[in-house]
Amino acid sequence: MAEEKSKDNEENQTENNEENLPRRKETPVWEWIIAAAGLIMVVAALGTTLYRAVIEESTPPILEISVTSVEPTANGYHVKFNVKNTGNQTAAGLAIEGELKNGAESVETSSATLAYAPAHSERGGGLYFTKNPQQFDLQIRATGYEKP
Amino acid sequence: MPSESKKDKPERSDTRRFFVDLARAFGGAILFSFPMLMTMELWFLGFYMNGLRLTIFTLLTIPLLIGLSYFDGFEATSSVWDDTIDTFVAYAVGFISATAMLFLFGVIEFGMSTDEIIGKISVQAIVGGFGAMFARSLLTGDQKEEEESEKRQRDASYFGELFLMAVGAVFLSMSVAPTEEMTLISYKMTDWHTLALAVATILMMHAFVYSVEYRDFEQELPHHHTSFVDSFLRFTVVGYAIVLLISFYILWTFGSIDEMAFAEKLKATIVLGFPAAIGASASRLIL
Repeated sequence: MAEEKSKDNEENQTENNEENLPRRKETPVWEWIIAAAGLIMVVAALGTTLYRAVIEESTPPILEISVTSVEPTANGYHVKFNVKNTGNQTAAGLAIEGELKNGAESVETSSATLAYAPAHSERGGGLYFTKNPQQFDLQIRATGYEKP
Repeated sequence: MPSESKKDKPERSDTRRFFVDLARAFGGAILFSFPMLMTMELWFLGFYMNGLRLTIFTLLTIPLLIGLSYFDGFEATSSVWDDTIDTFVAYAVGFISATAMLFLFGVIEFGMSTDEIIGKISVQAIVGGFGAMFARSLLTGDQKEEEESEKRQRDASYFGELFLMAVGAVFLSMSVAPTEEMTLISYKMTDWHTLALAVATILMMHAFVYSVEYRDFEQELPHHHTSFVDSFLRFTVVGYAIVLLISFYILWTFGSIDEMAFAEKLKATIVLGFPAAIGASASRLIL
């Protein structure tokens, strides 16, 4: 089919030339450059995806949660945290729970939900506490997620 | 601007023409892909969808765009090789416009992992690539080019027509398939709803088939005098079969119907078949 098409086109082109229509005979250099850029982008996107699909082992979401700052606010305290997912599966609806502990006794808990913690990526969020987290033992952990 | 480029030296006018076409391609890419650029599910698709399925999908869109370029690209093309170059230009346009828009929307930020950025862009770039290819039929002011591409479509064989329908179905179904609403709607519908929707979709498709015939009849094209049964079987029924296959394939690609029972899969396929059918029938009329 492809051969037929190109034959037809050649005929069309000669017809057009006879009629002296402004037809493109050679591909401009810029077109080549941009087409090459497009090819590179497609290959790069395909390469990354294939690499992830074939080479990498499928690991569940592996989360590292770190506290980035604790600041007083009008009604209490604001704890900013960062979640780094080093696994290669994405966690959706990730539930985060922060707990202030005084020894074994739980003083206060707060929770947050992150819509997504994508594979190999970082996401941030915040927790609010009424008591000063710096006076207690602050523990933040992920309690559960949903498969996206 | 054919009259101007006639006077110019051919090389210069070719380059200039290319940049005019390129600008048009960007216009098309943004016009057709902005609804998807502004849809949350499509940002996240790239990194949660199955990598192999995304790869297969991307590879399949390449011949689809080459074919589309033949019938209706942003440039008048003269060979399959030309169509291939145009396809990759369209991809470049898709990638660049998707990156720029997602960056403007704050969806892509500095410091995100390359994986995440590529994941977010790669699906959108395909949509943008289609938009770039659609550009000519809807944004062109060039009467001569328009006429030529119309002529090609008139000349399109039966399989060419089916190909155009498939392209339309792929484009519209991939823009809505990733949203949660597709499966949500199928949960809300009873079997009777599903049956009614399938019948309504077929009737709507036939209305489009009829209007294409009517247009061709008005313009006195010879080979389009067909009976109702003939056109219903050849275009509507076969078209709907293509639409259902494509809907199913797209839902599978995006993983929307994994782990569902067969009956539920079929329901979701018929739901997605509705927009896919609009795309399939409209592409023969519009493109």
